[in-house]
Amino acid sequence: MTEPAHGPRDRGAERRAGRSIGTRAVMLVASLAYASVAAAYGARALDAVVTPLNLTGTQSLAVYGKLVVAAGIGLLALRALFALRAPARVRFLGWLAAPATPCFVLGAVVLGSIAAAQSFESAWLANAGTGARAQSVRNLLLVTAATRQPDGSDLAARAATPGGRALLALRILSTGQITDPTEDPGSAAALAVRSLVAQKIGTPAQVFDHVFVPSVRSVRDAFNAYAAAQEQLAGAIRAIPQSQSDTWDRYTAALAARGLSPARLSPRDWPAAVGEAQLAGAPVAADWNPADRAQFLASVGKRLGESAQAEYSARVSALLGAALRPGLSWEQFVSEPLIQARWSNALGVPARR
Amino acid sequence: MEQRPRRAGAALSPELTLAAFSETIYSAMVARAAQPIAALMADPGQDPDDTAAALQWHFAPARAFCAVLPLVAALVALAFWDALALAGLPRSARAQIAAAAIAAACFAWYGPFVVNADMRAGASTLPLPAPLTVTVVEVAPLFHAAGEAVRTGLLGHFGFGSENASIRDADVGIPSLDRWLRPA
Repeated sequence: MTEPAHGPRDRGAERRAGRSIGTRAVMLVASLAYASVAAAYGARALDAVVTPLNLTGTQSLAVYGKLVVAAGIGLLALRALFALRAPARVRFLGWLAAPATPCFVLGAVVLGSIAAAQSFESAWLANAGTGARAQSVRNLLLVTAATRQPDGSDLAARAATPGGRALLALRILSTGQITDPTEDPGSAAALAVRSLVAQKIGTPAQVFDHVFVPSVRSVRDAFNAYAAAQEQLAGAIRAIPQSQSDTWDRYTAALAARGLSPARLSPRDWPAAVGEAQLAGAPVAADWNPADRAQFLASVGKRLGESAQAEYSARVSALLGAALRPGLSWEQFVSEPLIQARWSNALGVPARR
Repeated sequence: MEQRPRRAGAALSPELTLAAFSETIYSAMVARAAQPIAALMADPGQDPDDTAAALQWHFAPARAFCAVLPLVAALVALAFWDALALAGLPRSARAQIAAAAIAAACFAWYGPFVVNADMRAGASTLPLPAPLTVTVVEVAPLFHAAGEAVRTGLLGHFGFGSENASIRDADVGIPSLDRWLRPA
C-alpha cells in the first residue's frame, strides 16, 4: 500500500505554516528580550526622576532612552510587517515578502524614530520659556532637598517608592511641576533652600551654638580690650597734673642751674628760658612769658592729653579697625554701627543699616 | 499711614534667643547663601546652558519612562498572544483570553492592588484620565521590580549611562548650583 502523494499546493501550505511558526517564535523571543531590557531601562529612568543626576548622566540616560524607544517602535513595526505579509490577507502587498524588507523596515523605523525624538527635543529645549526653566531649577532644588534629607513632605514620600515616582513622572509631564499642584511652589522651594542651607552650614541650633555664641564671646573680648584701652587712657589723663608739676620742676631746676629764677628774668634771658622749658617737655610758644606757669602747665597738659588720646585711638583702631569714641557701655558698644558691621561680616549676614 | 523703610539685615545682640536668632540672623544667612540660586530662578536667561541642563534632567527621565512603559506593555501582550498561538490555541480561544485580559486591565484601577489609597487618590488628581494614571501608578512597582531584577541579574548592574551609584550625591550639572550645593 502506498501513501497518498502530497501535491505542490499542500507542500507550499506546510512551508508557509512552518515559516509562520518560526517567525512567531522569533518574534516572541525578541519581544520578551526587548521587554526585559526596556523594563530595566524604565526602572532606571523611574529612579532618575527623583535623582539629581549630573548633566552627563542625564544626557546618557536620554540617549539610551531614544535607543530603547526606537527599538520598541521598530519591533512593533516588524510585527505589523509580518502581519501584513500573510499573502492570504493582503495579496497586493506581496512585495513585503522580500527577504530584505524586514531589515529595511526596522532600520528606517528605528532611525526615523531617533531622528524625530532628537528633533523634538532640540525644538523643545530651544522654545522652553523662562518660566519652565525656573520651574525646572526649582524642581531640581526640591528633589535634591527631599532626597538628601527626607523631611516627611509629599515629595519625599512619593520619591521613596516606585509607584510614587511614577506619579511624579506623570505629574511632571502633565503639569510641569514635581510638587502637588495645590501646594505653593514658591514656599516649597523656600523650604527646600532652607533645608539645603541647613545641610551646608548647619541647622539654626547648630549655627547658634557653634557660630553665634562664640561670636558673642569674641565681641565680649573685643569690648574688654576696648575697656582696657579706656582704662589706659583714663590712667594717662589722671597722671597729667603730676607730669605737669614734674615738668615745671625740671624747668625751674634748669633755670636755677644757670643762676636764674622764673620770677626774676630779664628780657635778655627769655629766649634761654623758653629753650629750657621746651627741653623740659613743655611745647610753649616763642613769645611765652617764662614766668607764666599757667600757660606752661596748659601746654604740657595739652601735649600729654593729645598723646594719650592718640595712643588710645591707635590701640582701638588696631583692635576694631577704626576709631571708636570712649565711654561706651556694653549695650552701647554692641549697638555701634562699626561693631554691628564687623560682627555681621564675621557671621556672613548683611549688616543692619 | 507712613510706612517705615525696611531696614537691611538684622540687628545683632548678645541677648538673642535661639528662636529670635533663627527668625532673624539665620534667615538672613540662608538668604545670603541662597543668593546664587535666587538669582538663577529670578532670571533663568542669565545662564541658558545651566537651565537647559535642569530642563533636560527634569523632563528626560519622566518622558523616557512614560514612553517605555506602553511599549513594554504592548510587546508583552503580543508576546503573550504569540505564546498562546505557539501552544496551539485556536484564534477564537486566543481572542477570548485577550478580551478577558483587556477587560481585567481596564478595570484593574478600581481595586486597591499594589499602591495605597493615598497614592491612588494622588494619581486621580492629575489632569489625565484617572484609569490611565492609576493603572500606571499600580503597574509601576511591578515594572520597577522586574526591571531591577533584569538589570541586576542579567545585565550586570548596567546603569544606562548613570552606572555609578554615588552619582546620586554628585554634582547636578549646573556650576552655580553645584558650588552652592557642595557641602562646606
